[in-house]
Amino acid sequence: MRGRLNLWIGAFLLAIILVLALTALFWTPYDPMALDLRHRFLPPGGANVLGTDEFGRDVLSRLMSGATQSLMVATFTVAFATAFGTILGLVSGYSGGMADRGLMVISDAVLAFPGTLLALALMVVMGPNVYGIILALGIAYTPSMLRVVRGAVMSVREREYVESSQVIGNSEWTTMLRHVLPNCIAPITVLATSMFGWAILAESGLSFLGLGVPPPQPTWGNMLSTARDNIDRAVWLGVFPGICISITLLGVILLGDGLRDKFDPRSEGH
Amino acid sequence: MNKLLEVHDLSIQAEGRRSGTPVQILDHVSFEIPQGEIVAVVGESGSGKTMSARAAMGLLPRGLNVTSGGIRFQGKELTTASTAEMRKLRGAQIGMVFQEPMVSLNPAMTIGAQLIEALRLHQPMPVAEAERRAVEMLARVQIRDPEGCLTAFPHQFSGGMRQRIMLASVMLLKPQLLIADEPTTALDTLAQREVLNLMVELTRDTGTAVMLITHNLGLVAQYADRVVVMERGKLVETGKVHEVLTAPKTDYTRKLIAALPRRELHRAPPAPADPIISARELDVSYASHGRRFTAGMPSKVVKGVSISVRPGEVVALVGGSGSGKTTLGRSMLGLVPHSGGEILFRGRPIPASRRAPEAREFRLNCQLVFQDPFSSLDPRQTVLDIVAEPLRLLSTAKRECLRQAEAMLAEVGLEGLGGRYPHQLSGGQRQRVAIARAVVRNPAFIVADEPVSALDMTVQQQVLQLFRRLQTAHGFGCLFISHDFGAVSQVSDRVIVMQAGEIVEQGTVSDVLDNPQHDYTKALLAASPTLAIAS
Repeated sequence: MRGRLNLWIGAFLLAIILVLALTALFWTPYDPMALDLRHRFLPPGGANVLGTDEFGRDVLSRLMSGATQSLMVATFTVAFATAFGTILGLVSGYSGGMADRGLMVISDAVLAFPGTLLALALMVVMGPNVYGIILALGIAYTPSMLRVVRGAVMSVREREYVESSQVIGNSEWTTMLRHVLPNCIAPITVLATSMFGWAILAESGLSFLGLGVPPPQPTWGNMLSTARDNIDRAVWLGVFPGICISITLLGVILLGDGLRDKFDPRSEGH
Repeated sequence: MNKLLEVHDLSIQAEGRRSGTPVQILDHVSFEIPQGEIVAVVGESGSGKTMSARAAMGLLPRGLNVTSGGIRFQGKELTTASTAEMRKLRGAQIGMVFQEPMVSLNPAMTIGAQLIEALRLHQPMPVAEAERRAVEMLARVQIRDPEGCLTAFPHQFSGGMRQRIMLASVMLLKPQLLIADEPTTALDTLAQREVLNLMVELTRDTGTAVMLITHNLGLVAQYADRVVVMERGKLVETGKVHEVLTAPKTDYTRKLIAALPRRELHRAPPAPADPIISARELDVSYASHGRRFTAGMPSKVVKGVSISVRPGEVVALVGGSGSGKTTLGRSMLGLVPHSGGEILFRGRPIPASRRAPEAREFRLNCQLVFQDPFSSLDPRQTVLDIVAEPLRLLSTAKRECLRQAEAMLAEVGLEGLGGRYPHQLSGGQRQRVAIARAVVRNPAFIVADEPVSALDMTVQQQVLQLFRRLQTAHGFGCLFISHDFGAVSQVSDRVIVMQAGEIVEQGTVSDVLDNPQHDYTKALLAASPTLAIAS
């Protein structure tokens, strides 16, 4: 029951954000990048529902337009890290031996750099654009996913139903995909949903360093970081992106929890 | 008669987690344990025998409540005692030995630290004195090198030794009552006998009463003075052991007694034929862990064993833990590589490459049934999918696969349960699924690795009968691995006894059981409690 509720609340919260982001592709109340220096720092309410920022740009329009960017960065980063991390983790955990050792050395090397530092280095090479951020964060997060999947696989690998699948005559790949992977889904979901949050925050961190999505294109991250300068004059500039990030994270986490319970046959009944 | 523990009119309810209706775990149960006697509490899984013991220890799981009656220990009511009072009783007055020796000792602490901690907690004394007593007790439970044992960790010991250490740690405090919850279910027959003999000896010395919880009536006959039979939370029958066993008053007790394995009439041995599978001079070794950087010397687990199984023949492979029987079974299926000798399937060696057509034929014709039905089924597949999976590789149409799987499920008595998941089935039902999965492709050869030893006695009996029926109907050859002569005598044509990786005796069932030659076989037979009562 609780799982079911989580699922629906999560889906509802994400739906709100998604509608905002999709609408922004066709329509925003104002042009999110149009400067209007006569109407700087207008408080929320009035014609600009959520107020205006230091250049007189409409906050609501920027939030909507930023949603597209932030969600895209987070979604593709998580997809990248999960896809590569899961495949490599499966190979590493299941086959062991040289493949495992090689992958572990590489992932240790990548993990030794703080994720942001690694992303920074990659951004310098790639230049600041959305694809660069996705690739950089994706590469930085892959080792964590690899580690988690590898650990889960190593424990599932020893179960007798995996051995039984070999006795039946299934190939290694069939065994991996039919019996090992489905039983590793729980930790993968948990990590992927938390990564979604990390990615949104990391993007804002990079923006703060001037290496994120380049201005004037808004993202929640760079809105949040510029709001810092005016926090004493216009508190709403930081509050609204913050709320958006929180709602998205909450939605993703609840949805992830709910999905995990829904697809686990053991969670029914008891 | 001096009552030590008195369970009077005890009822325990579990709060209904979802439905809201409480579930009755124990239903107005009364029995008593006199001072110094061994009382066996017998019943199948779910009969509430463990919960009555846990109630006595004040260790009921969350959500379970005593709704009527209580438990008096030396005249003192336990169900209303405070936590502090219970803590004083636990260990010092009431000791407990659990079923699973692998998890009941703390793996991060040395044996010595665990023994001494418990002892000094209840009886303040200098460490040196505690150590002296611990060594003394370890020597009594026949641990070799008791001083060295103090600084060793649990993982360095076998299951039987761990259970003896557990027993030592409990008896060190000389409790008035020892609660032993299935203390030997996880052990093989020989280790089981050692542990129980020690338990009887130690408790007799200190005058400790024992509450022996078990599902094995054979053990009851051998060790207990009195017996309490329980079924689904209700007390069925209680009395002196020989009275209950020889003149049971209720159908349920009669059913339990009937479930004791007894020798079946022998069927005609299968016609002589070329063996379906045979191993010649088979060696299997594991690389042991070396110290630091050097690889350890490989340890030989199976040493030059030759066996063969003819079509339709059931060959039992018997031995204690560590005899190499499981390894031999797995290496014959190619799951464990062998280091010497060869395996012939239908007279031809199995090719090393998985892709060769002979290798495929071998794989399609050989199956394995595991001991533990809880871990051998994928929790994310439905029962029908599990049984249908082996058929996928036969290039049959999907619909035909499902039809055959359903027919197979009906054959093992699980008609209409195809949509369930493994966790929704009982242990016996799961093992039926595992057997169905092994048989569905009509293999020529099956290795059954202790297929019933994880099950209750009555369920064991049903599963063995099913196995025998399927074997007769489908005519597969089978290597039946077991440590229990009771099960072996019911299903097999030939018996092979293994000790320390070598065959010490082999012959027909009646040859080996009635006229054992080797000392090891005699020891195994003597340790088999189920046979003692059946004869």
